[in-house]
Amino acid sequence: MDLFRALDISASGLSAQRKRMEVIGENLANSETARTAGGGPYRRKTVLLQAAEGPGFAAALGNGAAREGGVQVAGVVESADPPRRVHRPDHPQAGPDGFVSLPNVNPMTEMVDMLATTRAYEANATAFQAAKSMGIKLLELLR
Amino acid sequence: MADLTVGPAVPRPITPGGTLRAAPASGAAGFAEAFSRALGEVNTLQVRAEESARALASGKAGDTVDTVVSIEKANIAFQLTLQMRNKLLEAYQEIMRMQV
Amino acid sequence: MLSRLFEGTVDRLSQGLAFARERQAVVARNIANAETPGYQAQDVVFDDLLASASSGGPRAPAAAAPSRQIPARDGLARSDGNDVHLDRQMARLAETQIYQQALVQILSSHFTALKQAISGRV
Repeated sequence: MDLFRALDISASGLSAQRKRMEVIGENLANSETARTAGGGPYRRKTVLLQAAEGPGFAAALGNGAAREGGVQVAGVVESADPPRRVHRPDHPQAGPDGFVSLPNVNPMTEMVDMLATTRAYEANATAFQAAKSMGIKLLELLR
Repeated sequence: MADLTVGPAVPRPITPGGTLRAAPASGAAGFAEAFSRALGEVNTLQVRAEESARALASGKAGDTVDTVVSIEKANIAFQLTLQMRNKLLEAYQEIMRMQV
Repeated sequence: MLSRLFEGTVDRLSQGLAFARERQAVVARNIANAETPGYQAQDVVFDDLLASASSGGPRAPAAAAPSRQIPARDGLARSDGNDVHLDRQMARLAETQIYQQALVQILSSHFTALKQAISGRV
């Protein structure tokens, strides 16, 4: 149904921001993880976002305004930035030089991202409610 | 949004007389013609409303605005022809009641 | 004859409703992509040409929404190329919702008035 398009779009936004929040949480939880299963310190992760095509894109109706979809998570990427080298000789993972490689996670950056993600999530929730209200309002014509 | 001009929401008088013949002698024929044409239009509107509703119900990418408005149009058109039919019937009955 | 009851106000109002639906969907898409790198915000405008082309009688098929997509251009893009300004989008969302509600109210009272005129009862 055409009314569901807008709901699906906002739902995709909510999902994407949820995923972002998860990844931020993972970064924060692992900000001091010097050794991961794959060896080496934890690397900061970010979510790759991409505008999505709508479900009926191939068989598009109408003049295209909302033929397109919302957003999609294209993937989760690890940062290529080098790890932090900190001098901590008593650290279990410290090398012979007394330095240990710690994750390239900056908690301040994560907090800023968290604020942006929260704001984006709330905006999508508002858009979802608006689409729902408009659909219900339209159906009032039949009462 | 300023481009959209909306007319006043006051009811326009329904003037079926627009299609009636003026001459009383052929008044009956004129009205019958108008009535059967109206029935045809009602049918078209109802078919369209039903098709829209069915498309919507079967999950096809229908147009909800169009469906809702079509349904109301069909309802109103039907009510109009129903009233016309009632008036016609009343008039007929009154004529039949006349003592000759 | 019957189509004369509806053309004008009813058809125009329902075109407005279709337009409102399209606009809200595009704003929703902008909001969903508020953090997508390189995304360009869009807006929807009422297309008078499409609107007049599609006002047919009862036989006319369901027309496409009388709207056209244009870039929103709310302001400068950020470093990742995204130019969605969330506060502007939220304002547009509210506008569209209020606009749609107004149209539904007007259309509803128009239908009511027609029914009253037909039945002779108020």
